[in-house]
Amino acid sequence: MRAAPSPGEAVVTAPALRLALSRQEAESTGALLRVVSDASRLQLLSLIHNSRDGEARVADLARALGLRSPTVSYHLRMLGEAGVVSRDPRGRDVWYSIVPERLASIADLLR
Amino acid sequence: MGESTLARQVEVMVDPQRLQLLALLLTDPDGEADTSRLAGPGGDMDLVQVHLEAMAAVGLLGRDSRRGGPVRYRPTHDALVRFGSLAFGGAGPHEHADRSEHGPILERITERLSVTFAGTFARETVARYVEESYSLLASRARVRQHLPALTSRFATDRLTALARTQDGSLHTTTDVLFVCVRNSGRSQIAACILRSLAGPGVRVRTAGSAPVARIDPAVVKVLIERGWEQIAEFPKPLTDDVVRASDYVVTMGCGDACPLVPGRRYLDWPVADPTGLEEAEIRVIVDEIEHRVRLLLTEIIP
Repeated sequence: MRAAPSPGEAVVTAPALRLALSRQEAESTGALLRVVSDASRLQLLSLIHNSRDGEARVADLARALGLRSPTVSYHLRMLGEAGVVSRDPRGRDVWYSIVPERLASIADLLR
Repeated sequence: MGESTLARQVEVMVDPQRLQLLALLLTDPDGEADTSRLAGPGGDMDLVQVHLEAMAAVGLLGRDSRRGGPVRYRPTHDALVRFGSLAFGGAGPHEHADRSEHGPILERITERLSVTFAGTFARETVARYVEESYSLLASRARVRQHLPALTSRFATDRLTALARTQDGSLHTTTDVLFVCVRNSGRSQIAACILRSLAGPGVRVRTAGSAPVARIDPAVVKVLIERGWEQIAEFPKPLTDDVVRASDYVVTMGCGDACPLVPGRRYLDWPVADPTGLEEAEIRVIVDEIEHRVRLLLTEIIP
């Protein structure tokens, strides 16, 4: 048996360490942020995230944002190339959703 | 517009050094620091200063120059809520931390914070934030001894920030929109019932993806018979504006014609269309909608 944990958090109110983010991690997060650092892309991601079943089509997104479909398609392609969204062609429609592993990182930006 | 402020903040945080600085600030024993402490011995203070000021300019850091000393920087609520987990490597894969070592302390932290945030966040929400904060911190802590204290502070700060954000966006009324195809049956029934049940704090609207000229007379008859008399609408088309103005959007068979607007709560009720049905069948539909409206109301006004 290991020793009992210290009694409560009060003991360690001022921890004497600061946690650093490694350069490599900071760069990979920065690269992700670069792709989404655009008001339209943030809106698109927010819309997709808040859609039913977390997926949406170009036409839905274009209408909701008042953008032209080619503009929406362009942003989605950029987001797709960066691995942020994935496309799922079903029948005559293509449904876009946020890649689950990425969603954890950007969900805080989309609330 | 919120998105453009957010976009500017994201743009500023693209620089890896700024994310690193934010991580340092968030885990600083004082929760704030000046340029020289952040730059460290031999660090480039001018460069660090530029980064800190850039983050302050978009509202991610607060500046405090009390006591005439050097300016101290402190992460804002926005920084905590939006970039808190990213600053701890939330973008990279991090395995779920083994919490067994600190399990009992984490339980106590959750317990304490649940009391602090009672009425704002459910215990499950608090537990999730504590758990997540611990995982984020544990994935890069070499010394594990201080993890619970850091977890406690980080989770407290994030929840506090989140609570403020929510308070700030509270409006005085809750707007509910009911949508069906014709806007003559289901949406009118739901609106009529909700209007009768809810107080002035709930604003009710209806729309149809293909509205007809008037409300179905058979539906009106059943509603009045059941004591639901607040029928005050006429069928009208569904527009982006009305969706935008709503907090809840309830669709009943409007198909994919409903515009999607971020931040709205969407519900889809699978209820049969009363058009052309016998009165007995319409009564069943009215009762079914009444049941769903009552459930919705408990969510709107807990």
